[in-house]
Amino acid sequence: MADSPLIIGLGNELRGDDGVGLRVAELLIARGVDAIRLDGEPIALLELWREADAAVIVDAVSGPRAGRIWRIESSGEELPLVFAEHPSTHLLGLAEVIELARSLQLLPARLTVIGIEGDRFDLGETPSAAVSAAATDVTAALLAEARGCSPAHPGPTEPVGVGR
Amino acid sequence: MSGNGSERTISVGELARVEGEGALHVRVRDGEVEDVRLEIFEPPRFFEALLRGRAATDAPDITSRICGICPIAYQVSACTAIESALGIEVEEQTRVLRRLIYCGEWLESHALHVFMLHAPDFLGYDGAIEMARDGHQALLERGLAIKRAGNELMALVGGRSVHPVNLKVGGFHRPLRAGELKPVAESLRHAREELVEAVAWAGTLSFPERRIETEFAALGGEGDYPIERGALHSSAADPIGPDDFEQDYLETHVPHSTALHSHHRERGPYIVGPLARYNLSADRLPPLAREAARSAGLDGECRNPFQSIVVRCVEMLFAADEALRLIDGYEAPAPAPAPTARAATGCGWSEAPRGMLWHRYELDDEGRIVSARIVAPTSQNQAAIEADLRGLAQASLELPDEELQWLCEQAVRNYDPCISCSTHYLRLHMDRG
Repeated sequence: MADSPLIIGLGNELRGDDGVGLRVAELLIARGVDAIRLDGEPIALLELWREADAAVIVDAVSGPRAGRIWRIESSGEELPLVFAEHPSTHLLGLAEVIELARSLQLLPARLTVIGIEGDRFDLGETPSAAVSAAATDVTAALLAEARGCSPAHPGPTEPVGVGR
Repeated sequence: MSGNGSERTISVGELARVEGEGALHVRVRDGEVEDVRLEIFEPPRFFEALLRGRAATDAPDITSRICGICPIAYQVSACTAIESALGIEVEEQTRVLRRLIYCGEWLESHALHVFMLHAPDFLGYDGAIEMARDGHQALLERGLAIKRAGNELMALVGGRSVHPVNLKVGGFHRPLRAGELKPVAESLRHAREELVEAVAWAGTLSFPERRIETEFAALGGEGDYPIERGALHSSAADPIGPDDFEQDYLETHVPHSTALHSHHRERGPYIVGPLARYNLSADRLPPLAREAARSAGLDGECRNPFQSIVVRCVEMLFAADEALRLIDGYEAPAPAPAPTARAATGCGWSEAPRGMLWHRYELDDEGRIVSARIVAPTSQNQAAIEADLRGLAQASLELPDEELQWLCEQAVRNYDPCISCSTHYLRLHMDRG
């Protein structure tokens, strides 16, 4: 069996749907799967995945359908341009960090980005029901993969904007 | 950017490469800069409201979530304010350990800004990615190595590099023993070597001509370069203590921004941050950093904001050097006793990477927060940044639009505005005239 990937949930739990990545990481940890909650700057990813052959990043993305799940394998090709269009509320957004890592040869050999569309990002908001449900689905899928089952059904491959 | 013959508008709808999000508008009419607005938005006192009713001992952890890049600054400012209210005086070794972890934060924050956000401006790139793709990998790798040393130090002393968990009112949950600090010394030594090169590199950059006459304010007066303590020194007045800050310095709302503009009640706008610290306390830098600064063209007072990038490199060199000095003489503090609640108000401050950060807490006799007030460095700099941009734009009107826009953006980044400290998720309007 291949080495299990490093799972990192990204986000800000003070901003509603922006915390979904952290939520997924929490749910996995509660079920005995190693995962990291990263609620700081995405640039920290470069350090976190330094020794990893494979990494899975879970983050909220903005899009028209709250709760929709995207799964993108980004080690092979560059992330679609629309991911890089807007800086997120973080300093270098996730897309920029991935591209920077790529240009410095600091990407893990396999990188999966799971984006969960959300629509509530204001400070102090609670997560929306659709996003909470998506968190449960993504957790179940990653749990199954961690236990050696076949990979979960991949999400749509059309890109949406990352960040807010 | 658009306009007819007599009117030009430069709008940067979303400022790239600043922490958080912000917008810049400059309007020129008939050869005069008519309006300059730096639009950043502040949560309507979200965190101060969140703190009401919470235990005072929760304040360091809650406020540290205001900024992902400078959590230690919030924790230390919160701790010193609450300790002042409760009459707690931390022992010297606690102060030293706080100063040590703070050095880590200066390293990682400045490294991120200098190499990934600001260097592209000086080298003619839109961003770090373009810079990396065009042969500047070594520069970015240097920046990442320096940042890594800072993060390592913060993780070691703080228990976690993101939102360190080890600091508390009175000291540390688990103060490190001397032997536990040795592992990070190697990374810091390497970072220090890289930083000597970095200061020299910064000195070779090309700086637009600019001189500002604004007042500078920074902590000082303790005999060393200011980080975790001091009185507030100013280039224009006598030092004051934290309890006097809100009488002398006011925050007012301006229509175009929900962030508050800070100014001295009589003297007007002022600047905090590396340039202010350097101008007020350069003589307190150790010889290595002082000499590197001089060789990089910093001689005496520095009033060109574009040279802030050199000052940040000097401060990083100082921080790595200082961290090694503190590790060398380190003795673990005694465990901090649990604080005793009392109804009181206390103020405290420290020098975040971006400048002085002030906290005030009113506490009740059960140890709960009745009210909280936080003044962040970027809020304090807002008015001065706009004044700087106004003067800069006025002096640079002969430039074509694209170059003028670049210059204005670069000028905003001179201040390394941490917009997420004084603002949040934004909504911007593109003003295309």
